[in-house]
Amino acid sequence: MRALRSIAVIAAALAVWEIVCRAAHVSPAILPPPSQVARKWWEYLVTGELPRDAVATLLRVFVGFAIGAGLALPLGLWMGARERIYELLNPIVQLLRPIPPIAFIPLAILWFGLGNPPAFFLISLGAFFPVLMSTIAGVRTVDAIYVRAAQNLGAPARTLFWRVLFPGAMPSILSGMRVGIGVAFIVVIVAEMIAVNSGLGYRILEAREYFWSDKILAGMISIGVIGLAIDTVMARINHRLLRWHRGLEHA
Amino acid sequence: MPEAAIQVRGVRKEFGGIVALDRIDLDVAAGEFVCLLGPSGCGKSTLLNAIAGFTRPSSGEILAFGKRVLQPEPARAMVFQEYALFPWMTVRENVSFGLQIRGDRGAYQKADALLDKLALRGFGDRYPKDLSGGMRQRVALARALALDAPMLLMDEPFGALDALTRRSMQDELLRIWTELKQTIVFVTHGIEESLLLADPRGGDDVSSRNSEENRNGSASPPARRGGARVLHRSPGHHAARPRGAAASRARRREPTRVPRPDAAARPHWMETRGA
Repeated sequence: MRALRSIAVIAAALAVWEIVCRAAHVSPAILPPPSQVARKWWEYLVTGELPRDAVATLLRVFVGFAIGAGLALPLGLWMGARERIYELLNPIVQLLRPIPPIAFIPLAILWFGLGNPPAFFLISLGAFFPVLMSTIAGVRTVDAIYVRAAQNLGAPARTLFWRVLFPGAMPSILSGMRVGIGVAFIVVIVAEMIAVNSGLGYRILEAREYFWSDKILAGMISIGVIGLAIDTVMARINHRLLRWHRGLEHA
Repeated sequence: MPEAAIQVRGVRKEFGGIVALDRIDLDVAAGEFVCLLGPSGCGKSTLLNAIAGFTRPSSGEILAFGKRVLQPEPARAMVFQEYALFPWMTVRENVSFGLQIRGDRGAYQKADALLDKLALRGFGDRYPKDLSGGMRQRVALARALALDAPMLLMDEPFGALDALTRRSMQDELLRIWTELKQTIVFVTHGIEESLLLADPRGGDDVSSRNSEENRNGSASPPARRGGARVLHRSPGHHAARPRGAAASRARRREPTRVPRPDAAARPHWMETRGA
């Protein structure tokens, strides 16, 4: 029922778009009607161009995210668990964090040239800070009562960390990862527009050169669908890993 | 006089200029069930936390079984008011956690046996969030009991439970104590609860409390309670009782202490400060 309603709303929006384009004789170079976009999208798909672009983009997102989150997670755990380390590193983290990854594009190209390396660098940078911040906060906000309970049961420091602090921080870490992969997906499109010549971001910029507005829109819609798919998968993973936590925040 | 389980000697505790405890002396014999009674903010939980080893006294010292308390230890098992069950572990993992740390190979089996005993059979794979408050507190109790600690420290453990559940938990606790004879320090602000668990007259009406009539909901009339006290004094009567456990407890029970709620009789360390 709910799905049906959602489909109806989307269909209505598309119908309005179609009618406006036809009734007002909008130039297809400015805003093509959805029927034309759909035809173009199909063409883009069956020629194998869209799958290739999507794979290239997703590969960059995953490699970049893996690097960024892979560095941020241990550092965040360390900073969260050790007050001294936190005090030492927090100022520099706070200083670098507000700089948007996009601002690193000129340096990234100077350092890494063109192609995948600067893209990986920018994407990992985009994923790094959300994961880092949420990991630090997650460890630091584990309720002291759990630490006491574990100490009372005789837990040595190592057990305390892996069986109490780490799982206790997990909800925060995972929500940081969800944000991080979202940022990574934004950054990948920008990076592809500037530093790389493949992928969805590159493709819509290329289409602009020829005034192929239908292809731009087809690419944009593909980006939206893939972004939604990534987020849905992340939400599923969170849900699975946090069986114990589900509904706890409303209890 | 049996072995001393806890010796608190001139303990003082300050938190940033606020004195929570001052000149506290307390002796608890092994196997004793002691209630610390007092209003919120009087420092009873602070004292318990110091006995547990979570906080150090600003001055004075605390000995547990003759050894100075320096840090938390499984030998002094704590039951927290907020249960403090690890929400990311199943019930079985929670209960067996201490045993696993100790390297016990039969940790899960022992945990399951305890869960059976505390009427939690079949809940081993559940997470704490799936349980009611009373069940959570039984799991917390099982976790504390799993290590066979000679001492249980309980910080208002039944404070968050409804009256009926609390009552059955109190009975449960007395039954466990009768069987295992740990030293129990029980912090509460409930006058009734403290009288029920550690009776200043020597715990003599325990048997009447545990009687079937009581369980069925008919409150024990004063005469009945009086009768129970007589029971305590005549061991011959005990044998006739269906509940041998209650009788044996009454026999071996040491006089227990309940700090009186009225200010005059309250020990100096129970003085309310800034509450």
